[in-house]
Amino acid sequence: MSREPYAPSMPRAWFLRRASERRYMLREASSLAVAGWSLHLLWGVRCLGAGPEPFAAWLAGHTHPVGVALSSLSLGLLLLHAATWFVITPKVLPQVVAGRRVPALPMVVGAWAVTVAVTVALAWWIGAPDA
Amino acid sequence: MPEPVRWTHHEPLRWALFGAGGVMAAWVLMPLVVVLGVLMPLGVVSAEPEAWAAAIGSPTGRAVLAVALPLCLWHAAHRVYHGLHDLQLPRGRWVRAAVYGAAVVASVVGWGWIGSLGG
Repeated sequence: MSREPYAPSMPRAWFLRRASERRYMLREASSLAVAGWSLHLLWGVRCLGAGPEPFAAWLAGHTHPVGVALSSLSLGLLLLHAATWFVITPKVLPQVVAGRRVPALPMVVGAWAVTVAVTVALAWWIGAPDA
Repeated sequence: MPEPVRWTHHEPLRWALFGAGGVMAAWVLMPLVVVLGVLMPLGVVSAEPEAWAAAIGSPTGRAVLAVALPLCLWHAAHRVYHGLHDLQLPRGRWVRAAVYGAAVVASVVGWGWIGSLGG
């Protein structure tokens, strides 16, 4: 007589039950936006190497309604990624340096400041549209 | 006498690359999505291909993309691989090799494209 093996039951959509678990899965899903945009940008580099016409077509895709919708969705997921990531950052870095506690808040603010600075620098680099 | 530190498994290395990719996603990829995906369609930033080609093709642009994008791909692969467990999907040795391997292959192909811009 064989014994029944223990089969723990867990609904596949277990993460929909609690708000914290839904947020967790959404945060993990942000990696799809990260992968998608990374591949999209590498494709843009390939288009740039292929010539002015393919690159202009790649760039123009961003102004298409589908492009705008995908970018907005990606931005939402990337904001969630950054917000959660910067909260984790002070926790995974050394919390005591030279015998002194390192406060977490300046690190979170500093991390956001880098994101804002890079965004402003990139926009500055590309420049405003010609009037 | 303390035990000598031995390399027993690769997860710390995978996590370190995942961590670096998470930082790159927040510091480099998100600004690109904001400027290229939102500010440019809104007309705040130039949509001239020449302006974008000059930035992407510059040594700074190519170096930033060459560092940030492969790390972002690794970061995503790490989360997708661990997410398979959350979704009760199989994740054996071959699935792991396929997920992380896809990030590596895309990175190598991408490096080739970035490198060919240097001419």
